[in-house]
Amino acid sequence: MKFVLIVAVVLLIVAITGSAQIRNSKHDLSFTSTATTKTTSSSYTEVCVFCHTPHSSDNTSLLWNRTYSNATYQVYSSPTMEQAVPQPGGVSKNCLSCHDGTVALASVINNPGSSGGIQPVFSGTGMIDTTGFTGMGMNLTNDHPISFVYNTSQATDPDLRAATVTGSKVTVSNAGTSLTLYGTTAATATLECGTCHDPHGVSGVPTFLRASNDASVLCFTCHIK
Amino acid sequence: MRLLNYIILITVSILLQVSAWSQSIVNTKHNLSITGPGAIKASGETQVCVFCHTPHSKQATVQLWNHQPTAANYSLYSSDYLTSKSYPSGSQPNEKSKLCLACHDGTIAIGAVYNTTASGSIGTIALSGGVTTIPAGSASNLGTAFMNDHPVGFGYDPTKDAELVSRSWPWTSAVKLSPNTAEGKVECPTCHEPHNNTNGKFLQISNINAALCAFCHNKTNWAGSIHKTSTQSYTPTGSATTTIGEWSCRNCHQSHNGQGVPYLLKLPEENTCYQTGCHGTTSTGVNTKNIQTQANKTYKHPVNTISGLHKNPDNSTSLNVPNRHAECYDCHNPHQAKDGLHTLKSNAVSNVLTGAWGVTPGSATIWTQPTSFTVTNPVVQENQICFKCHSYYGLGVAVTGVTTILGPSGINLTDQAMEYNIANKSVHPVSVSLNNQTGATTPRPLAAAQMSAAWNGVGTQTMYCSDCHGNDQPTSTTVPQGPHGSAYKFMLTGNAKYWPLNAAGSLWTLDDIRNNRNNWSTNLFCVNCHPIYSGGTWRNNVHSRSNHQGAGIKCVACHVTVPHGSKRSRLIGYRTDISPYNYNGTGQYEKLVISGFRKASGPNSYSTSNCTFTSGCHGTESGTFEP
Repeated sequence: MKFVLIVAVVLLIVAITGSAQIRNSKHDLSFTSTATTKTTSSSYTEVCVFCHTPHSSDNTSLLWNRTYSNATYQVYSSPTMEQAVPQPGGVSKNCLSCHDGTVALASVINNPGSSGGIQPVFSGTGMIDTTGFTGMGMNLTNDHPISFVYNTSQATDPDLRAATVTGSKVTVSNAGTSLTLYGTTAATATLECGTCHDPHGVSGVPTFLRASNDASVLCFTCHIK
Repeated sequence: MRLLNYIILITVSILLQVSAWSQSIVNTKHNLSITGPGAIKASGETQVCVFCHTPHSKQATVQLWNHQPTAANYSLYSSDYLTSKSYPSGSQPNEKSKLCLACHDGTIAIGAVYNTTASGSIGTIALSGGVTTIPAGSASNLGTAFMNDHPVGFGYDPTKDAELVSRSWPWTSAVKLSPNTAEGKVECPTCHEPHNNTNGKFLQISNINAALCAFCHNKTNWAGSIHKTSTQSYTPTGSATTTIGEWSCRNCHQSHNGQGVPYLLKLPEENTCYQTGCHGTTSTGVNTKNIQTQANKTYKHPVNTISGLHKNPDNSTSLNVPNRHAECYDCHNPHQAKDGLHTLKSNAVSNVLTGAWGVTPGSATIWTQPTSFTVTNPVVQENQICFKCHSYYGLGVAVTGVTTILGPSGINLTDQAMEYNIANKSVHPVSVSLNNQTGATTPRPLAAAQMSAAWNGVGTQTMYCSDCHGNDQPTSTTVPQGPHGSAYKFMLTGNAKYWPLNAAGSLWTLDDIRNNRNNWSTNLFCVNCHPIYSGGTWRNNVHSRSNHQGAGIKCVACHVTVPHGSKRSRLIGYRTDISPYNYNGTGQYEKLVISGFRKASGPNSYSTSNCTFTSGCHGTESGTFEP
């Protein structure tokens, strides 16, 4: 009974510290944000709208409110990765609708207000600078591969940990860290940006990682090195 | 108590974690984070992978590489051996190796990465103790000069070197070329897996019994060589006690930072052989023989005194003036050598010389220099090793057989291929048995009674150069026997070691024998095999003549001083012969005196008519004499 209590307390602490912290993070592009990059439109004060809308979304998923990129990407390859990496798909496309640097930050489908509203204004190019780390560009050869079926890679690489399926949730877990793959079966679940990153932020964790990468625990969740 | 349970729970969890990581990079020197087990680690950084990898980079790179690259230009490995094989020369290390060299050439700070922990900043991760690059002198700092490192950037071509294992592509082992194709190169990851130190030294596969070396290297006859089969105990520096056989290649070679260049030797030339417990002064003296002491004696092959001239393989230029030398490898092949000395009445290459190469002289007319040679590899007869240096092959032109090269025993070196020419009238049977000495007149061999019991194969037996030249110490299991060095001139070996002078420095005479002077029976070199006078009997009637037994009549008045061979029968020399064949002393009979000689039908059939003289002795005889 005492042990259950301890576990419950630990889970509670994790829940608190793991809470989303998008307000005033770099992903808060609203006029009132303290972030460096944000809209210059003083009336544009909503936070979620840059990605989500309760209505009139692009009708795919996640109530998505942004124009997707049409870019074709150079994908990652390596002599030790036998599986070919496909073009980015799934939720990674959502991230790349800002982070490939080809789509304006202002490309919101349904702006605040009636009749589609007025698009926000950004200074400069209005797009993510692809010379910086946040701008992937269209060359993904120097970025961790995404959108590949994890288990297919794992099958040919003994240095990758096997995924586990719980109901319709596919995860890779090690030493208390669990990362989510996107898909409902091990045969189809892919690794996407969201496997490592939580775009809404985790308190105390830099670079929107799902958990601190101290001791490289995120890397070692999948990679057995 | 509840607290104790909790502590136990946590402890067990940690232990399970440590167990899971026991083969992990986390427990290796390549974990450079603050928790790393090595001496070199970060002062604050906790991430392990970041020193090499990043999930996002702005660099054009492979494998998500994060370390700043080295710009060094490397001097590549090369060797005479590779050149002799027309082995394709190497190129600068490829990208795979340069990833490793970004730390291991010692030019770039270990912490110099592109993408550090914080949100994407270029910078250098600080290391504890102010360490920046891998310290100079560290075994893991390879520097930029690769002559003492196993080659990288080299292709793998068994068609050029038959001692490389041939296998089909792609290789399925953890040992792979980069890329893993016929066009691939040997690079650092061919042998090393930087994430896994299970095998030590981050090796791809275990190197027990030098299995990693043997994955590529298949030295001819290595499996049967004493250096592979020996069960002799051996404690390598920094490693646990093992056996010579298990330690195998690593007895002599080290893949990185050895002192012997090229060939990845631990130490330069003979010093590799002289390591502790091997063939140096620290030899155990039981199953390994101390050669270092031998080669420091007065009369010796110049193993210890000449350095830097040996080539692999040597040739007639690299063995000749001004490159004359003798290294262990010139006579021995440590990859093939076996335990065991030679037997009598043979010239077949002995176990310890197995696998060495030599030369076989071509034909030449009587008492002329053979000037054509066939490289014989491996040698069949011991003399083929000696002829490399002691013939035209390594001496050059010497029409009279005598060079201008002064030997350590005080006479000029002579051409022994000329002296052992099959066309000569008399020789010691080093090259062929005397029945096959086509230049000799019958009877070709001496009579059996003129030989000691051990040499009873008259006419059919052969012998080694090392039957006469070798260690001055008595034969035993703890001292080496070959001609490495000796306290006696010409490295003469056997019970009796004096020729042509006795221990008192006087020329030997038959008087010494008849009147038992100068310890002739134990000192006169010839009597090791030739019982000139024993049991009250002279073994030929020339020696028995009392007027040949005068104290002033020296052996060298009739016989050549270099008793390898002669233009005349029975090692007789003529007064016109030159030094050193002619002793040319000052006294009347301290030099060759005969003008003509003809062999008799038997050892006791000689008369005055067999010799002729210009003056003195028994005067001028008529008839035909040997030229």
